[in-house]
Amino acid sequence: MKEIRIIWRTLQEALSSIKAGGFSNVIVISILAVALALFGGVLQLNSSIKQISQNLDTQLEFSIYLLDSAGPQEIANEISKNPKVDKVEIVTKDVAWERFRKKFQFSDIAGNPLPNTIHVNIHKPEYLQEVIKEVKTLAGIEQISYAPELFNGLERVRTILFSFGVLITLILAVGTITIVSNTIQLVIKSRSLEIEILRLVGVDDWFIRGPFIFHGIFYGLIASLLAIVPLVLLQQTVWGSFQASFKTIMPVTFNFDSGADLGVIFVILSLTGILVCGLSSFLTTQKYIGT
Amino acid sequence: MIRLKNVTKQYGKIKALDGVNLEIGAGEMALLVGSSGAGKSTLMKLLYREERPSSGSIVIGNIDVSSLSDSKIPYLRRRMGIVFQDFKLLPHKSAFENVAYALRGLGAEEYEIQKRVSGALNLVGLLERAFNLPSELSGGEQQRVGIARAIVQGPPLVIADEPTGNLDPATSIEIFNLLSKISERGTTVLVSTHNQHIVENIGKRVITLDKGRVTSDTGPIIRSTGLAQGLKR
Ligand SMILES: Nc1ncnc2c1ncn2[C@@H]1O[C@H](COP(=O)(O)OP(=O)(O)OP(=O)(O)O)[C@@H](O)[C@H]1O
Ligand SMILES: [Mg+2]
Repeated sequence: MKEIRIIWRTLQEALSSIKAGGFSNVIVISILAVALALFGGVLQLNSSIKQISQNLDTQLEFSIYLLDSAGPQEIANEISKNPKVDKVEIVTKDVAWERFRKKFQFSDIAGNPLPNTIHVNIHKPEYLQEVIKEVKTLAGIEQISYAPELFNGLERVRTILFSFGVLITLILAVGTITIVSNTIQLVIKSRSLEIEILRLVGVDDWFIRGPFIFHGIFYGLIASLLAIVPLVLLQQTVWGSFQASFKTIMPVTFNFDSGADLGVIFVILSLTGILVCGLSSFLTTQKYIGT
Repeated sequence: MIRLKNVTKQYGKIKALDGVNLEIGAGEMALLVGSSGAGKSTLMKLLYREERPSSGSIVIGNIDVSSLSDSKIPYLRRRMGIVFQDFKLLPHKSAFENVAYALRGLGAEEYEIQKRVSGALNLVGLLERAFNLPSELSGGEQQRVGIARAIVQGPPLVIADEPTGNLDPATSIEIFNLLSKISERGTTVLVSTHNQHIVENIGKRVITLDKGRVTSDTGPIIRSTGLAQGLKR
């Protein structure tokens, strides 16, 4: 009971400490929110790309672009003889061009640059390499496009982006710690009389330091709440249109999920915010009011 | 209650205290006098463990202050009340809240806070000003709040470093009468002062410091305050 009362009163003191912070709270929280949003953005991008590439990894489909000299029907017949192949679909260059123009609303430009295409579906993802190998032996094939090729490319991009993101995040974390420490230090200085009196009347360290630590945690919490907002908007707009255009451009069809899991990202952001801010205010109180 | 054995406090080359031996019994009231720089504040800071002695031992009750670890300081200070020359009140809190502040931090229950704070304010005669801010109180009244804060936890010892240093003579006498009253209730009281009139008339033990040494000590005097008579004379 006594402990609960002390925690409750510590929270009340924290509130008055925050009130005393005034406008500087707004500045600190804004900067923190931007930093956390960038960090969240990195996580979001990473998880989105990961989702796409995982989707690619389990594809049962690949596309064959034919030379204009080759007859699509014969090649399609040849491929469908393979028992590992489930389904074969021909998209002639005229059909493809028509779809493309509709999608991107091109007015007529000279000529049709698209090849005749055959979409091949196989029974199991493991068969993919095998079937492709056989298809390659056929004449009239210009290019084969299949997901794992893209998967590798995407994974490389993801790794680079992620490392870059981690680096930026680390730099931001150092900046954040500095800003929070400085702010809490100012608050401590402005309440030095209170702190002195509390010490002289024998109040325990934790009750003296607690409000300032909660003050820091409050920064982290509010900033992470703000940081998730642009990420939600980003997900709703960019992911949606990306998904739509990706489906038309890609040679294969996808079953996209909802994009990055913002719930998980929010938990990560708020924990990071609370931990980093809480820790820097903890260390600041240790330095300036610790015994 | 208080026992100092061969206590020396050195600040660089300055010996603020030099081999002080002193014993003050429970419930006793003692005045600490001496010219500026004699070491009065230093002695008091050693008692509430704001400073550590360079050598010697200090025991208060059953607490060995000279070897007390930093983390035990709050424990020591809850067993003493400290009164300051500059009052050290929080300007934005009422008299009541100033007295209650420490109790809140110690996790006391609300009804107990009410009871104890009212009791302390009543004892210093300020109950009807409980909800005034320090800026709305006179210097003497502010010091009464400071004394109420010092005694609210019912400590066996009260230490006051020049509590009347910022007050006029008449108000100073009131404050000293209040401190006598507190000591008569069984609390040990140690007060430093420059006020010669009070030193001569209060009828309490007087300990004189000079250049860090105890140069005279009247020894324990058990006599009620002679201040009121002193005034009339
Ligand atoms: N923190 C310190 N650092 C260095 N010297 C100090 C410190 N505190 C006190 N002194 C010195 O110790 C000596 C005793 O000081 P102290 O404050 O105890 O005197 P005092 O008797 O309280 O004087 P006053 O009546 O003016 O308050 C003085 O010479 C002072 O300059
Ligand atoms: Mg002094």
